[in-house]
Amino acid sequence: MDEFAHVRVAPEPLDAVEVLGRLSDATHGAQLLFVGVVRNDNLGRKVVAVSYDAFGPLAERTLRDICLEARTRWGEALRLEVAHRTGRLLVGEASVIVAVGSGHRSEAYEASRYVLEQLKVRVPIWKKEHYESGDSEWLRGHELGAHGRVGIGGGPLDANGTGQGEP
Amino acid sequence: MRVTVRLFGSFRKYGDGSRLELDLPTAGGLPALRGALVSKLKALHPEFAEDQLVGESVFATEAAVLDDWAVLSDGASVAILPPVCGG
Repeated sequence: MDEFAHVRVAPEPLDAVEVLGRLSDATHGAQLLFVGVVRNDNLGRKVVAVSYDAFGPLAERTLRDICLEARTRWGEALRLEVAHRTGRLLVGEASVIVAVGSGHRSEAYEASRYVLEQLKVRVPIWKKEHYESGDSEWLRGHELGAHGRVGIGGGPLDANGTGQGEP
Repeated sequence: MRVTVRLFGSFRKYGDGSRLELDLPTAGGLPALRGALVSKLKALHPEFAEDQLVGESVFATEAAVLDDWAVLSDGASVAILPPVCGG
């Protein structure tokens, strides 16, 4: 993975302190940490847990693309750490971390917001809420548009599903 | 030809929750795959009524989301990705 950014989509609990430690850079004057946590209600329903599902390889690839876009927009000095959990999380547990290191605070705030908003609409991750009533429901999400779609390009897809244009 | 469709998100409640095997005419592409998937789901689950969700979903490999004109070969494996909601 590129040294300026690390991404991970995995079931292991998220460690904000560890993530911030990896951002350490003497040229930076700003470190910004966003932590998304499981909330205990949604649209008036009492939530007790959320299960996250992900298409891991494509999710991490898309996150890397988003980080590259952020660096293009906010400068070569930017460093990013993005991690998203999978599996069942209880209320209060961290589901996503976006950490940004940069020379000054302005680009850290903007890049952090950009990465998170893009993650929500482009990265193949889904959440199923579990309610106090005992039932559960997959949440409606954002349709994946033309972002990064590929066409015929090279030959037909193979049994490994590696797709067109793979090296 | 045979194509494997990996299931994610709300599609995990169908089949074995992991994947479905579909048989397609060789001239098919993703539109044919989409139709075959709906037929398979209705055969497996007579109560299936999420045709619209299949239409709102995309197919992808581990590398990229696919355009409808992508060509599938026998033994291909793709994922169906419903609308996403990470975070």
